[in-house]
Amino acid sequence: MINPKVISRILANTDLKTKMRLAKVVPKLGKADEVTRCMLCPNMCLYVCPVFDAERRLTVSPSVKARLAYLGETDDAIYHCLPCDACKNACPMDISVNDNLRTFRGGEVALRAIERFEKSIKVKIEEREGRILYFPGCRTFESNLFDKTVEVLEKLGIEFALTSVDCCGMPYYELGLVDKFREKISKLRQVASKYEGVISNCPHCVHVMRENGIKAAHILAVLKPVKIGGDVSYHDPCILARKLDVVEEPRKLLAEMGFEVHEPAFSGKDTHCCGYGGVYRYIAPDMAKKVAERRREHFDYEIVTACPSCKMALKGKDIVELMADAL
Amino acid sequence: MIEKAVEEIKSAGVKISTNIEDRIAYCKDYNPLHLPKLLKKELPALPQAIAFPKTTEEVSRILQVANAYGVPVYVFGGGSGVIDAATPYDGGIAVSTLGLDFVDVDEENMLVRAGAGVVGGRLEKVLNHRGFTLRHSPQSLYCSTVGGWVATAASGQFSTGYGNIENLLISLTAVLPDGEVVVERATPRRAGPDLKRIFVGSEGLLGVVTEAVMKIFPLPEEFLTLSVEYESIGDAVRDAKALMQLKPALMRIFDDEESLRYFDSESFTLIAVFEGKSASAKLKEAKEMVSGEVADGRAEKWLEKRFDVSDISRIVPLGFIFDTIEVACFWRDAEKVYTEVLKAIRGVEGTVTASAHASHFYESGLCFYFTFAGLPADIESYYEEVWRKAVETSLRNGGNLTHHHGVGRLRKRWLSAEIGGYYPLLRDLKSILDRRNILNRGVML
Ligand SMILES: Cc1cc2nc3c(=O)[nH]c(=O)nc-3n(C[C@H](O)[C@H](O)[C@H](O)COP(=O)(O)OP(=O)(O)OC[C@H]3O[C@@H](n4cnc5c(N)ncnc54)[C@H](O)[C@@H]3O)c2cc1C
Ligand code: SF4
Ligand code: SF4
Repeated sequence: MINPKVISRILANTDLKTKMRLAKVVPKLGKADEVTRCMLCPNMCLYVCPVFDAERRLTVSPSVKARLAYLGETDDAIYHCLPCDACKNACPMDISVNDNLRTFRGGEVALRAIERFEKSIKVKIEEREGRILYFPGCRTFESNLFDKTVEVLEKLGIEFALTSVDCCGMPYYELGLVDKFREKISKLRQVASKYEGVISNCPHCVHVMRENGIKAAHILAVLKPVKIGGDVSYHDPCILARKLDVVEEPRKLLAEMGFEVHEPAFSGKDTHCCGYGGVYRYIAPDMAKKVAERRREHFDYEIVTACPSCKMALKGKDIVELMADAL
Repeated sequence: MIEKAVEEIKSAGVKISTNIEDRIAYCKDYNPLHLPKLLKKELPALPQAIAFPKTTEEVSRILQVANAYGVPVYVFGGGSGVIDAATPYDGGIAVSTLGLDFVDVDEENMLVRAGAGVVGGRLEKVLNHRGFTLRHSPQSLYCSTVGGWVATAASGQFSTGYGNIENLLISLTAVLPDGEVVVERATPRRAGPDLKRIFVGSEGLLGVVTEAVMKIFPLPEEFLTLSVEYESIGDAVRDAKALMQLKPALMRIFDDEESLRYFDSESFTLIAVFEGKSASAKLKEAKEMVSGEVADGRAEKWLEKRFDVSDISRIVPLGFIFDTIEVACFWRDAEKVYTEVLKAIRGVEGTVTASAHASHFYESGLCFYFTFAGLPADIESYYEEVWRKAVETSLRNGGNLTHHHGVGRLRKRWLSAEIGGYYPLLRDLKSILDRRNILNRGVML
């Protein structure tokens, strides 16, 4: 809303021809789309973008990626994004660069990346019955968290089911492969509908499920404290903190487990992606590693987190793992 | 020529790209005239290649090769400069300094050594985590670089208490246009003339800054604010001058139009921040000194919004052109500069809003920062007329050419009027250091 006093000042100080032009454009105020607005911004979220920080070229910076999309140059840079939304978190217009770029994707780079992703999946599940579905997500296997999570859930007496559905569809979604994504998520939705709800280690999976009408929660929701103690630094997984709004819970849990929890540079909603989010690893693997290396420099103590991808990238421990070791 | 230069740079092991996406990324700085062009899908300029050096030696190699082939080189930091300086109108090679990105904190001596390509916001985050601050906080902190600050003689929101970038510098490493590297010993003070100063504000004309050692400060324990309202700019300026005895960390005066936008009030507003151990005593004294009415909360409101420039993105698509003109003047000329420059901008057909704040203060004077938005029939001629009238009015009334945005191509026609006898000296320096005129051709001179 423009202050009416500002309007009367404008009317008092502006010449007639300009007033006539104003009358024509004012109804369009605020109507420009997000890509256009972002392209016109001087890159005010540059300092928080992990991809830019690793690659060190303006080409993959938030506003320039919007510029490239606007100009129809969509071959490569627009894929260089973690879906971390650090930009959105810092943006006065609440713009997510990644959300805007998704519709421009789906080209060659997407096809190559998805091939690499599919080759990387190694999911091995023995089905079992239960009231709620435990959906580990592919990264839980890659980071060797699956067996430990099963062990912890069993020890906590949680009655959980396992099925062989292996993918929430997130990589297809992020790469703009819409049809394939729909196929994956409908399969999961159908399976999930048989249970009271779904739990997962992976914030990405939980977010995708929730966005697509599946009742899902991060595994933190069912964990109970086990006394351990010591000094740790907590890394907020970006999707967990920013998209699922889970910031205080892991800190509280760790404190109840006797830990002194230290904050790194960039924490809470202002966290910094570990580099292994989304599909950046299948687009620019060296740069994803570089994001991870640079993120590790922000910590003063052993890194504890609550995401299988972050655990791998940061060579830290997942809270579930700490529990499995202590239970 | 360019192909050979690119090959040679590549074979020296320096990353260089001729990819169209990289070239588009380095096609302009943030001069507002580029934005309507982008909206029409036109590119203001296009370099033929982008070099991404990671070390001072790599910068040196690039410049040696560029010299050998006479290829123009444009230096890019964050590209947030607003004076049409980094825009590569002659094509050639854009050198991106962003790969020079190391940060070494020396807590004992309260220094930071940083690569030229380090982005301000990140540097500040890293320092804050360790309990320090650079207290150099331009509004573009989040998108500008250390090298860019030096090259443009940047000034931050806390300059009144902590100084401008030149006051924070301890030492610099730079590469001259022919590739020679100049390094100096870092000491709290030095012998002889302080020649690194030739790089401060030289906008990439005389060399590429590759690293800087700067002072850092402990994060202040106390941070107290003062907000006061006035009926006229003169009253506010007089109080600001008096308050300088208390050395506020930050001080600003918003005119009635800006007060309306920020605080929904049509008075003139002064805000000040006092930091550190004696902050409460200073605040108490300040409250007793000022002649205006204390209006609590305005400083906080501004602090919260101080990095928000989203209006640009909202109004430019409608056909508006928006820019800022910052000039310095002595106390004596303050009211005149404020009134006359505003009148000059408002007098140009097409102007919709024109306002000002004073943002940086010195013992001897201050900086006025004028903001205008126009919806003209022809953007380019309107923009040129506003700039011409504003600058000429400033110079005529005791104001100067620029306080901190720099000269670039935008203001170069007035530079000799500002620096007088130093202008030929600058030309001589340029021709001695850059015989083939490869570096930032067309900028400033
Ligand atoms: C929204 C906004 C707010 C701003 N607020 C302020 C402010 O408060 N205070 C202020 O002072 N400025 C401000 N500016 C202007 C701009 O941010 C500064 O001039 C900044 O210092 C430029 O840094 P950069 O890294 O973006 O440099 P660039 O824009 O990339 O370059 C600017 C100039 O410096 C040269 N250059 C860059 N790096 C080097 C190097 N390493 N060696 C030699 N030459 C180099 C370039 O060739 C060019 O001539 C603002 C700009 C914007 C868009
Ligand atoms: S996301 Fe927001 S802050 Fe970042 S570049 Fe786009 S408009 Fe600017
Ligand atoms: S989503 Fe993350 S990686 Fe992508 S532009 Fe935003 S901050 Fe950068």
